Amino acid sequence: MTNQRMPMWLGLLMGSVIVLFFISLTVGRHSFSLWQTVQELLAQEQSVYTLILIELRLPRSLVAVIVGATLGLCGAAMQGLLRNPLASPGILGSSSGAALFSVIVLYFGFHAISPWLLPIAGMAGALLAIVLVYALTGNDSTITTIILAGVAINAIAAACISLAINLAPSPYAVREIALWTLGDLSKVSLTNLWLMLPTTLIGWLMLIGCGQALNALSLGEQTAASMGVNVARLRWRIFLATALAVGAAVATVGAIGFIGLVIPHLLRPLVGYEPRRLLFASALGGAVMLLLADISVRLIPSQIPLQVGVLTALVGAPFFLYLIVKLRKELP
Amino acid sequence: MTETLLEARSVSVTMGSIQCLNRVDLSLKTGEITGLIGPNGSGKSSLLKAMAGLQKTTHGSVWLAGKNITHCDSRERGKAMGYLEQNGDVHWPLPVKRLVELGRIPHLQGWQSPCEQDQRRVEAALKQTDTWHLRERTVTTLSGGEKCRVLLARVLAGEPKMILADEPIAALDPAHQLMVMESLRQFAAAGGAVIIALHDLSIAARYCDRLALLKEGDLIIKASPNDVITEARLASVYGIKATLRCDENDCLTVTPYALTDEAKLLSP
Repeated sequence: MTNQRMPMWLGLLMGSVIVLFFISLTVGRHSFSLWQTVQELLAQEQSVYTLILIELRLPRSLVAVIVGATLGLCGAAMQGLLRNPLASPGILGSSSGAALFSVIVLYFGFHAISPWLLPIAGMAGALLAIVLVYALTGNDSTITTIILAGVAINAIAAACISLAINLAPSPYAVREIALWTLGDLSKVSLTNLWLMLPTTLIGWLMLIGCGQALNALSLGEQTAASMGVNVARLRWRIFLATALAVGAAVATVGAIGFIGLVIPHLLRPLVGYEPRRLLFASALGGAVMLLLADISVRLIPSQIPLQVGVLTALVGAPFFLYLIVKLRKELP
Repeated sequence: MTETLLEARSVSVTMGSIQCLNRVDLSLKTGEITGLIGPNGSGKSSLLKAMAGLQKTTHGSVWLAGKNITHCDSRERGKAMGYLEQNGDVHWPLPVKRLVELGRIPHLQGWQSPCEQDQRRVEAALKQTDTWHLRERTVTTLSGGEKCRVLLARVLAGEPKMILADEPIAALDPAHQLMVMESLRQFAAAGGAVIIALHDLSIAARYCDRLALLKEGDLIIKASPNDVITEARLASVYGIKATLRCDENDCLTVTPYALTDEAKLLSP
């Protein structure tokens, strides 16, 4: 039943991404109609509205699609790899590693030297976290050991971020660091987009080819290995791909939680439990969720702009609790 | 004419300070079912894993079709052998048919989905293991015995040249034990090779062409069932007294009835 309905759900998700993308272009302090948006995008002469669209809304919407897809895809891959429905893309410390390095740049004000330093530092932090996990666990470790190493890296990074906030030289710096860690799409530019794109695409391509091996892994590591899967190589391929893609995402928009955790769960009953089927669907689902969240923070009336990471956490956390209760009944 | 498909040459396996296998030689030949018997902890699972290329050997090597298994392409190895893990787990609540389709993975490339021929193999495997009626069920709703048969169907769907099965009938009722063994016999009769770890000595004697008896990692004897299973050997290896009875087809039935005096001293 689920198999036959999968193309329908994929089509629906793809359609939602396109519709929400165009809605995202129209919504903001200066709202346009969809027709106006198309006219401005195609106009020969540049007006203020064209500038708003090209320089602000277009990169913001595109980054929302890319980051959402990254989080959904990486969440599905990580849950498939760890055979754990509660795994998230940042479980091995790539998100917090990226966040820590970005906070260091913000703390010392290096981003004033070059805006490129922030995303580059973020990606370096994500990669360093994965390298550290590898150095701590090696090639033959069990999944539990690897997760524990990730938990330790996450804890160290969180402690260092807290230390940076604690010792921040000014209230302005505290606010900047704190807001950045909450996730924000409002400041992204086309430059950010071009910078994050290469590593994100490499990460995506590395993950998309893992579907068959992740399916085999449903039967456990020994059986998957007997079916020709090089489990150690698969593991590090997914870790590296996640570090590249999630590192680029966190470095660009800050830490946005729960999308990678929640989306695969929402989609499993619709497209099936096979990890391979879930990869593409989760990428689309992640894009839908982040676009929705980003449109919502622009529409919710508030004196101080609401950060998109706050909204995804507000929606995601109760859903996470619901999942835990539901999983107790469902899983073997 | 029989052909050697898989060969363990002087294989030793050590885990930490424990010697699980000690220089074991064993070969798998086409058309044969080889039974691995021995008490718990004798090294049956370690030998199966080593022969499947899943366990590093500390001494010796395993040869697949004349090639050292460590140098074999992993996909080719996956096509050649079907490994049935002891207490095999399924981590997601997959429908039975999808689970059995996973057996076709070694034959599929990247994003390729199972084609009609793959589907036919899956159907045949489901019917062969008497699980066709379960095909729409979710694997988490199956009983232990049903799951064992579905996992065997997954192995058969991969059309391997040999099957390495680790206690696949331990959780089955007598009828399904016989059915699974008949499936494996058919597989061997069609030119495949089977190595199977068993605790039921009567079934081992009835269905296996050769038995390899292990104790504490040592291969005690490999020979025909009637030569391996003797009262003296059951007493020295298992610590049991048993009645052995040969039927009209020269098949042994083993009925353990007591622990030996030495075993009684060791039991709590």
